[in-house]
Amino acid sequence: MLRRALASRSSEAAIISTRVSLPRGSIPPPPTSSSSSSSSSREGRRPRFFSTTTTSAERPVDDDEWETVVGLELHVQIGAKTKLFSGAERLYGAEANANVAPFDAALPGSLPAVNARAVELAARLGFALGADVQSRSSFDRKHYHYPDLPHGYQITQQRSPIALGGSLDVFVRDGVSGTLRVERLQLEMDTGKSSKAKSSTLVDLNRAGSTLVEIVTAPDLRGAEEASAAAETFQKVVRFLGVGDANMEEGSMRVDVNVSHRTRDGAVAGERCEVKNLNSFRSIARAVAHERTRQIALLKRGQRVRRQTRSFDPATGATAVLRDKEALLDYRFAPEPDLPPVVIEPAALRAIKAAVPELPSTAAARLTNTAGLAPKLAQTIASKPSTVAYFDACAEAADAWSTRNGTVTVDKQDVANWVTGVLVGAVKRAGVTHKGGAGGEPLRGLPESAGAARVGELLARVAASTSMDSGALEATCAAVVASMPEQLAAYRGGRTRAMGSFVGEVMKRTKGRADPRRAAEIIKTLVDQ
Amino acid sequence: MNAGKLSDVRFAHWKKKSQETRIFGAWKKFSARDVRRCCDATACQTNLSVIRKVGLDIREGRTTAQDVTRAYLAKIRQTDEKVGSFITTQADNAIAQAISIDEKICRGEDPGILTGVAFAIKDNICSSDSFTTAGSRLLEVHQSPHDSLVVSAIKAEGGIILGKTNLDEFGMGSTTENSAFGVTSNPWDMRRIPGGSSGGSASAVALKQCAAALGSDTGGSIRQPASFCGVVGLKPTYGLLSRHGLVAYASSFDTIGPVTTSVEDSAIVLTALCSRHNQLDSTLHHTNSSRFHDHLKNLEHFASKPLSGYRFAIIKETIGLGVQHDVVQRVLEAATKIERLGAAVDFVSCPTFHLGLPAYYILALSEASSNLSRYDCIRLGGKTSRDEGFGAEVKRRILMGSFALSAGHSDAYYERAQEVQRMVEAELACKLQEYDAFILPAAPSPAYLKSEKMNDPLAMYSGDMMTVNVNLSGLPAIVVRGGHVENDGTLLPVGLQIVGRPFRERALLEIAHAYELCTWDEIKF
Repeated sequence: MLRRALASRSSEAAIISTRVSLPRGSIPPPPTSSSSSSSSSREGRRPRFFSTTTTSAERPVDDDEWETVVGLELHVQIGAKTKLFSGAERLYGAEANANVAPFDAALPGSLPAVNARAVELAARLGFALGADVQSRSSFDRKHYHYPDLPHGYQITQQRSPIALGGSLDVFVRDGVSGTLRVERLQLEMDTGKSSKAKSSTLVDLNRAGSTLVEIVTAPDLRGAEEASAAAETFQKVVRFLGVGDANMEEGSMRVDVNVSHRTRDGAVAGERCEVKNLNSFRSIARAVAHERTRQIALLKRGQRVRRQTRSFDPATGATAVLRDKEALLDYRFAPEPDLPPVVIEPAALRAIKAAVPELPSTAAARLTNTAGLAPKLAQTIASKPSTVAYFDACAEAADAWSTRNGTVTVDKQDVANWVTGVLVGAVKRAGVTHKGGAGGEPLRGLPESAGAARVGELLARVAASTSMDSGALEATCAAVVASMPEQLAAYRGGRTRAMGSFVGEVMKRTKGRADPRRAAEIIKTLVDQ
Repeated sequence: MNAGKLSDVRFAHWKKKSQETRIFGAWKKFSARDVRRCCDATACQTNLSVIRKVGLDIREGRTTAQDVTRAYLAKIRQTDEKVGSFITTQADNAIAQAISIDEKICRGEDPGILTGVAFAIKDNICSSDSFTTAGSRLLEVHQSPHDSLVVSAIKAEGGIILGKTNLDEFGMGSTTENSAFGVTSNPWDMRRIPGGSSGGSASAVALKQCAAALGSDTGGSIRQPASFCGVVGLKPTYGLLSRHGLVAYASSFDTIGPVTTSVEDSAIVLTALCSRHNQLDSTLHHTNSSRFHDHLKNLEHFASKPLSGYRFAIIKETIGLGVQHDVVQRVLEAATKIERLGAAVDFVSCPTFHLGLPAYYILALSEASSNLSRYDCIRLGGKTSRDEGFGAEVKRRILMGSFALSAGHSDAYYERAQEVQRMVEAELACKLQEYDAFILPAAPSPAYLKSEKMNDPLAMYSGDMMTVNVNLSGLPAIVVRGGHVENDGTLLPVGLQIVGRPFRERALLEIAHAYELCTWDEIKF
């Protein structure tokens, strides 16, 4: 009812204009103005080969004695249906100021109430990153004035965040991977969007109050490539977990990088600079590369790198000062009096933890290490939880069959090849849903003959038959022929159908391991002698 | 002195008694009994409840909600120009509400426990059918899209809303002089302030411009004006009532509560306000809703010693330095009366008591500076800047609060104040394990003259010393009439504050009710 009441008002105030002129440099940057997001989508459409040509500013400096140290701050919008505190819907691309509850517009008398689903999703992300998810976390107010921040403060988790610690495996190139430590995950409220019109600033509050999880990493990354690969990995993880879209162009994932430089021998170490609101992976790499050139040039001249907050312009590939940290903003942090601490009961914590699927990187590592798959194959299978589940069920069924029949164990590589080569394509063509089916089947809608257990058994049979060496098969065949004189006489008398009895007996004696066609050939040569 | 003399004093500024009769003349036509009796509690000493009386008369057909409403509206028209209790009145809306209640009665339905009760709402409590200004120029034309939870509870229980009452801007003040919409006068002496910040609500109830009112209490804003205007003001435990729809001043202390003419009315209104719970206020403490007024007996059913078994404490620090002698006398007299009713009264010492005031101001102003940062003149109001929209006192408090929270000062001010808050809370909680309630003055003095403390904010702030500790600890407290003092030949009321255990409003109301009924003929309002 509240929303409807506001919606009727929002038509007149569909776009709120501000007449106040804002002092430059002393205010935090607007998160992703509409103009910059449009330029980033242009950038996204650019042909791939463009990325190899760089402007002089971006060209990497060949100074191997300098090491680039990068840490990330990622803001990921949580994909809960409603906002963090207000119950208004969270939709991208709705009409301006259509999804605004009284709290989102900071109307007098409105109060926040925490969205349990958003907390759950943040906890899920925390668990997936191996973080220590806190059973008790609390909210604080971070004060600053900006037109798209209606309350005049952002509700965030400064003192006790929802999760501490954790790490993420980052693959830079094939085979090269490292562990990026995560320092903290905190829940916070997103701001609205402001965009410049001719003589005024337009504010759209649809995004205001959406749930953000801020992920702060340790400065474990070295260089531009690692930084953008790490951000990409985070995106994959967020999408994989179903925690959010993490769409950089839509602003549902935004990245700040902290870049500093030092000589490898540790003799010189510069201050760090923060480049804010990067909205594509390429921008991340370019911003870090630009900072490398700029900071090393300063340090080489014996100058100081000033601690600054900088912005990145994708059009020029250069960063520019937003504000000096020397003139540090005073956010006047204070406990949020309208919200009691968030308490997640131990049982709920356990349930959330149990429901976290295996991360692709973890699954890939497991498949490589314990199943002995090639890294590439392991990654392909690990990219989807349903494929991993199918693979696991299939391999298990094959093992069970071979143990039962005392045959050789199946090579997991064969199972993996069948899954990636046959199943994935077939599933895609058939449009099978990637969800659990009845009877523990990992995929729903597959014909019974393609079920994981059945396929596993078949693969085990094939393995057994191909593994049987020809000498043993010939011996068995000879024994069979010798033990069945009546059938031999009948066959030699022209009753070729007796061949079936021989093959059947061979199959029986080999417990089905023999390839019936080969057995028939061998028997034929034996009886024809 | 007798009741006649008192009412002369009270309405001295209207001089003409005939006018007063005319106001109530309209009632007589419809009511079987003298409506003045209905409003003037002295008429029925065993039951002082106006709400119960009005409800009964309407239900039994002796009068109608519409007539009662019209009478109150007429009273407002006659008196409010001089007193200035109201910022907005909504006569048409009120009459429409009254008509719908009368229709319900005709259909045989029960409109609720507030049937036909005319309410005035402090103007920092949102209602969708009128402006909610919070006494600020900045919100002059602000209309809330929704009713606050308390207002919808009143409407749902058959109450009628007459209008919105004056207050210190955003509740920041103790005099109702810091309003953008004029100064409210104390009905007992027009030269004096009614107290604040719920001064409009208190003066409206004292003048019987309404049957009951809602106020808000952050540092004493219900209790101090109730004391100054000689009415009953209840501040419930923090977290009992939803703050949804209350324009925030200091979120950790803001409490909504009733201002009424009797304790029983307070109990009825509190019951109505508790009848609805929702999830919109996360700081709400979910208790089993109870009907507070059901436990209150009429005088004839009282035992000879209605308060026997109760233990009361007088905090020594509240009757010492800085409190006017007359006021201390009234509290001690009240203590004697309470002893006569069978209770035990002890003196206790709370060494942290004096620490509460500075701690309260640091915490409240810090939160205020944060809560008021939303008024950036982009979305609300017609003003172009905060400078233009805010009054002087609000600006002063925002600056002080911003300072207390700023880097380098927050340890010295904000965090130390939080420690003091914990100490004060712990000490009061400890004493309340032994005692059922504290009795103390509601304010160190009776109502003072207008602009007396306007230019001395510290003097005004120190007037809150009797009330802020209760807010720091979140406890429930009620102010009832404690007697009067004579000042320049004028009689001024003095309230008695009773502080109870958290979420034990029922016990607190029983105590206050017994005290009120048993001391009525001695106090004679």
